[in-house]
Amino acid sequence: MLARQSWTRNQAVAYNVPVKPPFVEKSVVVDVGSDVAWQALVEPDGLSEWFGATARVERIEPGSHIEFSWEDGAVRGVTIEEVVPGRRLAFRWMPFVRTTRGPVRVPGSRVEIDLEEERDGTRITVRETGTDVPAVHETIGVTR
Amino acid sequence: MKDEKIGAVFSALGDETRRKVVTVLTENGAMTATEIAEHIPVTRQAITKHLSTLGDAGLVAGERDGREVRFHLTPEPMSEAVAWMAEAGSEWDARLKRLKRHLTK
Repeated sequence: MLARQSWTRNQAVAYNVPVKPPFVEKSVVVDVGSDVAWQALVEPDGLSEWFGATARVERIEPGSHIEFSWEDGAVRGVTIEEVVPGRRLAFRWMPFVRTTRGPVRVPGSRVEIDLEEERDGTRITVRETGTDVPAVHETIGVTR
Repeated sequence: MKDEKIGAVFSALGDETRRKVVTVLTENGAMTATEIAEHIPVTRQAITKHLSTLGDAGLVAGERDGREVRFHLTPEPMSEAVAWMAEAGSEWDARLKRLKRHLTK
């Protein structure tokens, strides 16, 4: 059960227009330049390998789509929103997954992948935020 | 279908008025739609509709009390939503690990 005191403390956040902190923020440093790292993000074979789902890429440009297919038959699309070669790829997950049993509604979210050259290579940072997600995150954040 | 349930939770809490309903119920315990409407500047009818959406998401439950229905929070689905976010995080951990391996080949 949620503690009443925590809720009161969090009330201002729950009432206000949501600020949107990412609910995922992860980064890794790879031993290559940002141009090489970028290729791994946008080239379908490489993308499929590290993403863990077969990627069907229309074009790498804003408004274009990538469709990911998983081994269990699930398919989920993203719409590309920002493309800055060697710097940033941002896309939005569709708020549903096509499964073998039909479509399933899931929370929609936006993913930003940023590349930053460092002395030892390239830092790749992933941030995921959501329109609905932060509201939940903040409403219940106190329980974590 | 777990994902679908979580989708309903996110969607229900994506609305500001419904978040207020949740907050009011947290502060006051079980209440009728009329009592909730005293705390939020919308009609009782609107509150009833929001309670129904929250109910579908499994976030509130109503109990008949004489001629009235009193609603209380059932917050379990929220922890599933938190678990969903944690899972999204571990998926990215695995992806970045594979990406690093892919780039060091």
